[in-house]
Amino acid sequence: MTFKAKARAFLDSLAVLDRRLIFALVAVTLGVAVSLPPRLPASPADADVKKVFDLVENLPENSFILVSADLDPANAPELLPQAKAMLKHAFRKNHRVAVLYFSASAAGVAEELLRESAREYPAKEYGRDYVLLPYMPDYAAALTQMGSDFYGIYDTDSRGAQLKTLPVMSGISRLADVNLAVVFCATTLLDNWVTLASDRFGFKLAGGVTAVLQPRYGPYLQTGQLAGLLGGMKGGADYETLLGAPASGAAGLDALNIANFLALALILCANAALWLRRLL
Amino acid sequence: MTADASLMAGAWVCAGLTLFLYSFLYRDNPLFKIAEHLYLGAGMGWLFQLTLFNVWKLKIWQPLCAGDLTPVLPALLGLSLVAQRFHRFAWLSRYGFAFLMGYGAGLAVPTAIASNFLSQLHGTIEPFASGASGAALLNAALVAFGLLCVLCRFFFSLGARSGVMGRASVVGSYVLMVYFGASFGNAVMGRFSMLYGRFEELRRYSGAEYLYAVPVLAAAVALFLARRAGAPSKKETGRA
Repeated sequence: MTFKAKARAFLDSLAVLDRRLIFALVAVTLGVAVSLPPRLPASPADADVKKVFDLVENLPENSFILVSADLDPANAPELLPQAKAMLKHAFRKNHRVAVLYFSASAAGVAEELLRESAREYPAKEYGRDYVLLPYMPDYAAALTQMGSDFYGIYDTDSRGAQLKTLPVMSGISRLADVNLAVVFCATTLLDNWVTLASDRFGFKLAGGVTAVLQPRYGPYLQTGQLAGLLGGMKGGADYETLLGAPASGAAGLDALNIANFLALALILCANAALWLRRLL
Repeated sequence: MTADASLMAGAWVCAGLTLFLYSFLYRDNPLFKIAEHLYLGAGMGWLFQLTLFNVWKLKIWQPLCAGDLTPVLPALLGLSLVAQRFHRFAWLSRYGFAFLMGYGAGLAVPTAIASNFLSQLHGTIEPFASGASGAALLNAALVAFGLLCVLCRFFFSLGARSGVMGRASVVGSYVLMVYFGASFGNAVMGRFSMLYGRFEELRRYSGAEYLYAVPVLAAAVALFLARRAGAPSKKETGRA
């Protein structure tokens, strides 16, 4: 076989690379990155993330932040670092926090998120500084009702206590009383928060979404309908950097960068192979 | 020191099901099927109990027991949807669906026009009216130009594919491609994030604390797949 024929055969084999080989390559790359974190230098925080950080930072002490934690185990790697960092920031600034969720699969994750974030601040007390609201299946009905009477839909918290009587809810009777709402979700729920809640009842709304959804919210950011946005694992890592406490988001981003580099290398390799094949 | 029994059981189940699901990347197999069916079953069970205790009990049962009849009508409307399954009473479901459709449309139409049409229109024009300058003005001009070109792309009337409209629609296609490219890039990053999450969990359960759950289970899955690869398929057995 001539050199040209051998080269052609090699380039052809690249074009029909077994997908299982690519899976194995990605698995090995991520496995190494997870076991031996490379600790790459942090890039400057995204402007939209900085806006969310500044909002929480500049709220007066004892402000009320409503968090919609619609994250489930599948999207937790992207959304949990964002939500944890934001909640820690809220506790650090002595704000009051209420967490709710409209997705059934978010129940356990939302509870864990609140418990773990509050654990770092032992002085914080359930019912006085933070509260978990129960699952509500119909977000449209809940958001509409919360706009006029918060307790019309949430009469009790997740533990069955009368919500109205809890100190954490003092001064809050409807959505307009909320100082800031932050929605963490992997669905288009954030659209509904914009259209059904913040635009109608007038309160500041920010979001934390998966990377897939991030480009979708550019128009809302441009018009100011969204006050800020955290996108994907990068959003969580940026918030952790701004907070000065790098955690799982920053570590995950390093691994992600390496995996993205591999994907880029594979795409370039395949394209180069096709181009060379045409020349031969 | 090893973890307590419940944590240990959770770790083995978590690691096992993750590996069972990833075994599909090699080929379809019974381990994947077990994990797939467990996932669906557990998900439905979880949703059922959550709805039962957080919605039905709190919003319907408890108020009714306390003598409050407010939930009766909504509950009946909800129940009417189930009538769809019974041919003789299927007409009852129309009441429930009529309420759902009317309520949904009444809520969605005005809010969509206000938030997604008028506010967006205002957001595109506003930077020019408010005298923005520098980078903000350039950004606004790019957005407005992209918007007009994409609108031309979706204008299909006579003559829309020639002249200035035709050229603008070509630019609109490129603008759309940039958006879809960004979305796809982010989607890939999102999938890697999910994979990272599973790997992080597998790494946690690999140590002595969890009795080497991941290496043991990974070896068992690999052995199972290897044995299946060597065994004759059902087709071959049937032919013999």
